[in-house]
Amino acid sequence: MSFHPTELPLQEIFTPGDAAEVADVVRNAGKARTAVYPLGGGTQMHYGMPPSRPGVGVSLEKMNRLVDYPVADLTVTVEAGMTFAALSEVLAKNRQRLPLDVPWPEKATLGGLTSVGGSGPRRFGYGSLRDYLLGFTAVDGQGTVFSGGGRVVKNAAGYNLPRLMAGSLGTLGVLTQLTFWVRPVPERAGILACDVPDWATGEKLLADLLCSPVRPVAIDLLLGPARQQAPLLGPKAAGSAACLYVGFEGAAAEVPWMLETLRAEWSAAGVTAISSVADDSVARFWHWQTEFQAQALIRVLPSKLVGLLESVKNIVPACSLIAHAGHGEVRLAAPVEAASCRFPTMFRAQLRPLVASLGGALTVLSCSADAGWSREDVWGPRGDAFAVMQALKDRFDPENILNPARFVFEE
Amino acid sequence: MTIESRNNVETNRPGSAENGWPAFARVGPGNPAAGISYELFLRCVHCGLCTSSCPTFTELGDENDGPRGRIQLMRMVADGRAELTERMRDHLELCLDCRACVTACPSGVEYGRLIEPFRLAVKQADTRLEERYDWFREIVLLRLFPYADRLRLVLLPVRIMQRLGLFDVAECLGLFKLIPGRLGRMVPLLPPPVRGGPRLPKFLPAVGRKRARVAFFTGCVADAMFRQTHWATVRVLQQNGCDVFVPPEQCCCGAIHYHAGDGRGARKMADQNLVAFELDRYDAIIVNHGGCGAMMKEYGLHWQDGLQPHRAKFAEKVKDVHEFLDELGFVPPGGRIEATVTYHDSCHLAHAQGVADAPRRMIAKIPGLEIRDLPESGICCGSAGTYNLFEAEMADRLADRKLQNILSTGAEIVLAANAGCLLQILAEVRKQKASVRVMHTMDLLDLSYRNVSL
Amino acid sequence: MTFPPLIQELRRALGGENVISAPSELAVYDCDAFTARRRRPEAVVFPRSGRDVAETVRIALRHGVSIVPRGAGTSLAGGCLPGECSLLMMLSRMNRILEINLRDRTAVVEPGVLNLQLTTALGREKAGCHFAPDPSSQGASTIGGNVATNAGGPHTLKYGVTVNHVLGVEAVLGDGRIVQFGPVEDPAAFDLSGLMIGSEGTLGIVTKVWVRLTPDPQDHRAFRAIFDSLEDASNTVTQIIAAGIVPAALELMDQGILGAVEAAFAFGFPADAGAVLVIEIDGLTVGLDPQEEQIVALCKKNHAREVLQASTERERELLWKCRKSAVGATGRLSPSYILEDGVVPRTQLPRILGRIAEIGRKHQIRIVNVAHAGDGNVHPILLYDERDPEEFQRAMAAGREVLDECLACGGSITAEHGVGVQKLEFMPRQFTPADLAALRHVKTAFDPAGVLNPGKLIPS
Repeated sequence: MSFHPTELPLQEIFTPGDAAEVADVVRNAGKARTAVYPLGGGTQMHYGMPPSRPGVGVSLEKMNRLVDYPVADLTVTVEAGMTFAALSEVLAKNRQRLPLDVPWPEKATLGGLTSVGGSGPRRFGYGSLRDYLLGFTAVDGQGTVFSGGGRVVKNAAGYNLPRLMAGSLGTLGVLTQLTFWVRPVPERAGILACDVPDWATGEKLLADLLCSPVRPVAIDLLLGPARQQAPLLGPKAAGSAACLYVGFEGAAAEVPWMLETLRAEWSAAGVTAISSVADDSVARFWHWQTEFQAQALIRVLPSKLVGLLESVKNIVPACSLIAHAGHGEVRLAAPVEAASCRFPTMFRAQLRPLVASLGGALTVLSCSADAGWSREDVWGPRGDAFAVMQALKDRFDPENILNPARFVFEE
Repeated sequence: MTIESRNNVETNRPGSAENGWPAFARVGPGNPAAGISYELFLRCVHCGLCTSSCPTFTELGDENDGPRGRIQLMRMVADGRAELTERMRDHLELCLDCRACVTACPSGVEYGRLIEPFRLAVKQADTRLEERYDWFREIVLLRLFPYADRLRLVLLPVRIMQRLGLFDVAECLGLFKLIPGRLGRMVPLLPPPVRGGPRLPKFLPAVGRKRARVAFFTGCVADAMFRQTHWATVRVLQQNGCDVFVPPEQCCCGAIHYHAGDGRGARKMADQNLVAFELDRYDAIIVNHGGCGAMMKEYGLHWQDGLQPHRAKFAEKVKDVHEFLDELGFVPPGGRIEATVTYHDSCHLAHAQGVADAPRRMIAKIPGLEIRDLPESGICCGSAGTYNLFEAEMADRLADRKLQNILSTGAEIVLAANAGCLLQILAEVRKQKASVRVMHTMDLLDLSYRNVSL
Repeated sequence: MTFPPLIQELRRALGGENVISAPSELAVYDCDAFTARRRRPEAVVFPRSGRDVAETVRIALRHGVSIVPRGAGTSLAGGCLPGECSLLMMLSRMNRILEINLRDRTAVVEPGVLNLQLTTALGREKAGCHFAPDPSSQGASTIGGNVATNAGGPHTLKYGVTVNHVLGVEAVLGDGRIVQFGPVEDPAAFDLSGLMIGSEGTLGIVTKVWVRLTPDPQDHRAFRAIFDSLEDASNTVTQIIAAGIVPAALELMDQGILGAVEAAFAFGFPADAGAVLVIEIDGLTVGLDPQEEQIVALCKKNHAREVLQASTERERELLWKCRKSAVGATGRLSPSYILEDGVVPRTQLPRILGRIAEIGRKHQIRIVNVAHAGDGNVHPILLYDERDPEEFQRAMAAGREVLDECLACGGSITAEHGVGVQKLEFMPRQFTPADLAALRHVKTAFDPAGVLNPGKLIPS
């Protein structure tokens, strides 16, 4: 894992102090059609296509201030360069938080997180960053400062531009300021875990969870080596298909009730070797999953997930899989020796057709420049959205200088 | 909210002539809205919350066939902003007058007081009625239906055919399709024969402690086709401590005349009833069919003449049987009935009279009975008085919709408290060969009181 | 003016029964629930499929007319006001629930499906889940319309608005192409489905919606807290939110609206109450007692006269009916009204309600209030008589001042009704020219020819 921005072909790095200064940098770069690479904490440098076009970096490290935090409104406005850890610390003093799973929170900035739009195990219970972003300010490809959304929790004025910016990988604008909706910190957390002897049982356990009165925030299946590495005690019977972890958060009375209720349901269903953990270990476990180094991310509808896992295991037997079964998200890590030049071929020939047949989406999360990944390998074929995306890109960044080449757009 | 008039955008600046909205209401004679108080139109704030309650809007999805649109059509005519066109008239005619919109409307728009006088005025002004003699309207609707005895007499041959099984044969052979037009549509509506029993006596005493004196209204079609239900109803009333009087001089409520555009004929019937029922003798005038009850409760609204105060007083005494027993304190029946039932809201009971909870509360007291909610219970079955004879296509669509909803509950019995609904649902059940029994709520309650199994 | 060739082409494409062009039948489409402006469309079309919608867009493009999509026509902001030379597209005949998938907790519906129709269908299947957005118009409004306005409702407070409950859409864009965004989120794509939600039919005409279904809460309790003053009630709201309690709903009705509600439903609210809060908490049974205690304590602290729990499901339903039908019930107070939809940071609720009262006094306009108070979303209702032009002008002026005040509090001019035409003039007050340019970028990317609901949402 590298946090260093030098992998980018940077001629110079600017550290503007406010949106106007960011706009100056972008405008100047635009005149020369020089690429502009927004830099946050550098935790996601491996994400997307490796860029080749030389350009300037815009580091937001100086723009890390808390702008406005009306505690009783449960909203917070920050500069985009503030790290997730710094924000969490401020919020925690008021028993509030942004309920997102964030890798390397000490480094990761809110601007970077918003651009990448990642998510983790608790997305099932809380949604993703998109669901919390109320408003933003950014600088578009022509150096114009613009804002979207607002600072109130409900807002129907204008298009939902925050939704557009979240996950646009810095290709529409350099984010400078963000407003989030925050939530109270729950009192307790807990996980109930069990072994999944075979795929059919796995599907049954998952389907049964939907009928249970318990309300998990995370439903995770671990397969392969990851299962052994996970920092959680629990059953890891040899020969079983996977481990299932059902995570809860809530009020003091709720979490023990849910753990007990689910334990009773599982026992009645004949599940053996049930274990549970609480509070700190739970946080550690989710955090470990979030920072787990995966090469690919697959999304499918939850009903297709178990079938997907079974098929992937047949294609890459030794791989680790972390599956967020509640919302249909799978992180795939192949064994080191597989991550070679043969890897793109296997993706093309087997994985992508499999995912496509399930109506899912496959994204390569980490690709080295020399392995021969094409844009289509990494992001998949262009779907219905592409024509509109290109039209948006042409309007927000007509010179194509913002984070060029890394995302789906041609360089 | 901008009112600076942008180019080409009409602004509804009240009273401004430039946008075609004239100053308010110059309703002159000859305008179908002449007899309607303009305040009634103003109650509608155009929110649209009524549209989904309207059976015809639900089926067709056109605002012209929904309450909000119809009010606007009538108001345009009232304002003189539009001439009543044939198409507008069709949209207004397609209204079932089921009043579901009245239940849905939070603003309290009295839709019935708009559509009924408006349509009546349109019909009366329609010279074609005089030019082209409508034998069906004149003979069947106005001279046959409203008279129970005449109707029974006419039905006699059919009843004999039914008893002999010839009716079904004729139906199978499609012979009824040879009967033209609206008369042909009436045949399948005839319910299978049941023993209706003799004419009700003038007086039936209360059982047990006497709690009320009531008069019972028998009506026309209901008495001809559902006399057994009348018997059941009076027995239920007796069981609840009511002395029941059946004034013999009473006649049809007048609804058939009124809805067929014969306001004068309707008034004659109302006034005959005024004479027949000696108000001071009774605590209430009990009606067991929603359509008749709704009409009689509106006696005070329809005609503005010297008798109006008397009709209004009469109307106050009119009670639906469920409503009355619920208020009186219903004595629960004791006989077990092991069955699943669902309850259909008759429009003129639920929407026009606002009686929806009482029947449900009452049947819930029958031991052993399982009650299932009927989806879209408040959407009209398509009967709507004589609607199914005139607007055949829409009536058939709604009948099918109603039956599908009934079948979705899996109930063995569907209950309703209105003659039109019972006929319409029965006919649809027969048509689709569905296996579900159709009964009046009073029939079922009576069985339970008498401890007789189904 | 009508275009006979256009009408003929539409009839050929959609079938004569799905096109209306007689002037007398077009009149009822001249406005939605925002009645202050009216204009008749050239024709009304009733598509039955996505293909019909696409074909209509292509015909419109050829003839240079625009298309205004319309669901139930309950927009309070004029979102369905016909434009100059426009076709009105009624989506009411695309009203099928195509799929209910309980394993994935999704349903696929056509845009004309009523919000409540879906929830009722789920109830009938004993699905144990529901569609969470519950705008007050949910009995009449369509899911397509909910998508167009990013509709909220009382339970938004805990469960979020429409955008949080839609996984994807199929839509016809301004060039007549049928596209699908979602339902599986693809990291390689912008969130175009999310962007389309709340776009008021200006970016595309949604022909299919994949909605997320929310599990029914195990338990719920509804309360009404009666206050002597509006100020006490609004202070309570602010303190509940600040305490980190997230009720399922936290709604406010003031004395004026209570009068109308009581006339309509005879719930039994005391006639002299200054304000009532309708509070609902839901979730696991074991978690409700502590929430209830905290909420009741805060109500009492702010001088609530009493806090009463709805004792039966029927009473709870009636309580909600009162709240949800409150706006419609204003027909009992006045022949006409303007309904605003301002939103302020929640701590500003007491301030904005105080200012609204002052504004009413200043303009001599009676204003009554309902509010999704927990969200800071106020719905002042300005009453006037449309037969009095002068009073109408005063009402308009007061409405403007209310929205200006919302902006001054750091809020927004609309929370859930959308901009439509009603709030166009305020967009430049809330947004800079650069912000508005960004909105135009989006509009032209989806609809370069400007055929879809022009003149809405973005001021020209």
